[in-house]
Amino acid sequence: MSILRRAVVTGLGFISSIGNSRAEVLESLRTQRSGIEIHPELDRPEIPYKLAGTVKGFDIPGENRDAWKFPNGLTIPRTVLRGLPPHGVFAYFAMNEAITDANLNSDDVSNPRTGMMCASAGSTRTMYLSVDVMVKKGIRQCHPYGVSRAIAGTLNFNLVAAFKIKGAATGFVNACSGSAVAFGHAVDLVRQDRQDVVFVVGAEDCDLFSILPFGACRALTSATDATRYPCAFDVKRDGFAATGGAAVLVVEELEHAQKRGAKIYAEAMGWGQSSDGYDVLAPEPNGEGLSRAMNEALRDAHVDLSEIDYINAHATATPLGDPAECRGIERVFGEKHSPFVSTTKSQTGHGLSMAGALEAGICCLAIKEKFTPPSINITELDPECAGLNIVAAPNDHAPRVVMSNSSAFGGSNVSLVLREFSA
Amino acid sequence: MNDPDIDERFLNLNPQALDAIREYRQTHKPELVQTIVAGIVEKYLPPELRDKAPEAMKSLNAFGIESVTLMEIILDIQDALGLDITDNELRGLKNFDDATNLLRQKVQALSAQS
Repeated sequence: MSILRRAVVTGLGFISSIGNSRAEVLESLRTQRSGIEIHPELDRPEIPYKLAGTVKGFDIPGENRDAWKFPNGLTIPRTVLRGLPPHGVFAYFAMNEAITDANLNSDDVSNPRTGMMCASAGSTRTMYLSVDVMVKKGIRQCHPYGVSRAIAGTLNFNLVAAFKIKGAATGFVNACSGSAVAFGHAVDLVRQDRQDVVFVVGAEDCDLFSILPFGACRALTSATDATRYPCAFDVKRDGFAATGGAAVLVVEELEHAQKRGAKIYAEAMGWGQSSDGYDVLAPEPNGEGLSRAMNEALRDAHVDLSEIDYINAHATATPLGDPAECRGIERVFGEKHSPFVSTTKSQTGHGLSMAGALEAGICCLAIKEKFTPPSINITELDPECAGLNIVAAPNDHAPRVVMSNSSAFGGSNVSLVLREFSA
Repeated sequence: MNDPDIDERFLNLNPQALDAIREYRQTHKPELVQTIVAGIVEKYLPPELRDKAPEAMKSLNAFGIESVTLMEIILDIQDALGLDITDNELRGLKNFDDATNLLRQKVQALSAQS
């Protein structure tokens, strides 16, 4: 019998391609409103990849923060803003929403028992512009925050200072499974009685420098029709549309949450992690590594596979990745059970390091609001994916137990299990 | 005459300081240094203390100007004047009036060379 404490999700915050608040994200998921469009910075003849999940309402040109503009009257104190890369701005606002949503007071936030697990790739643009000044003008013309604004870890450096976090803080650099790993570690910190509250923060820039480098891997969609692409699980899929923004989840110990009278989106039941041990970029084609992460998550969660109602798949719409994941899911579930499967990346874009947190947040909304988000843009299901119960149309099925998968460079696989809360 | 590069680089600077930077870029007159430094210091003061810029010039860390803000001020001054302040020079400064004198000397030295 487990002596572990229980971890629940009590707050959510979003700045994303499908909405800059929890309410907007929920509305977009309910109505399948896509966040994909031609990204203005990619809309040049020499650039062969145009689509992205743009973050709306933000104008963040260059490194002069006096020129940065935010939507809806949002502001950041100057002494905080000067340290933030673009995705730090997104994360700052998503943190504020999550804190308000969880009804945490300042003592709850700034407390030795409150920590923060973050994931981002750092800011390529910020590093590029800072190093450009160093090379062209000299190091004494560079801003003292040039390094801490840019490198991976910038989220935890900055947010810990901005929100006066006193507990454990770590940044994870697993690329596209990074914030799923962050979520798993947050759950462990709470279950193991090391922390009572842990913020999980996933965030990414959303610009030429954060998106276009993936074109060198031939991983981006070259389509220009945002009403049909990206299209995970479809025969015509040709790559992903990247996105940026931020997603924040408040992971909290159950009794701590109940004493505060906090609302509970879902219980974080467990998680699993594995490596393909196969290739830097390509997924192991049979999904063997991912299947081990899923099995480990089920074991850790003490959940039988027959209980899984819905899988939010990693599926980014790459030709190799989607069928590999489908084979991995079939390895785990086989003929025994056929949960609903969809990917929300066809709607949001692929959030890279943010994806795990964004999709865990989406799963919390699906559980709490009782709906199953579909995979949009499927017109002809790939026969290689046809063995799964893929949801291609709006579905009011209320999922009670949900699995969320993430995979990344190096064959880094993570699977999370969330369940509708019941005392 | 407006220079888009200066306008963009020095957003939120008061018009007198902006004009002084534009003129300095053309003339390198040492007497413009005071207006430029005072304008940049003023920009970094909290809005409610902007009229205290002359007093702030007599210190390096008054009115909420902590170490990183000081570095931001130095960066702006260096960029505005096209000069470099070394670590040793920086350590020798006690207030922005000192900095203004140092910069004026540097500008004069540069003018003498050219």
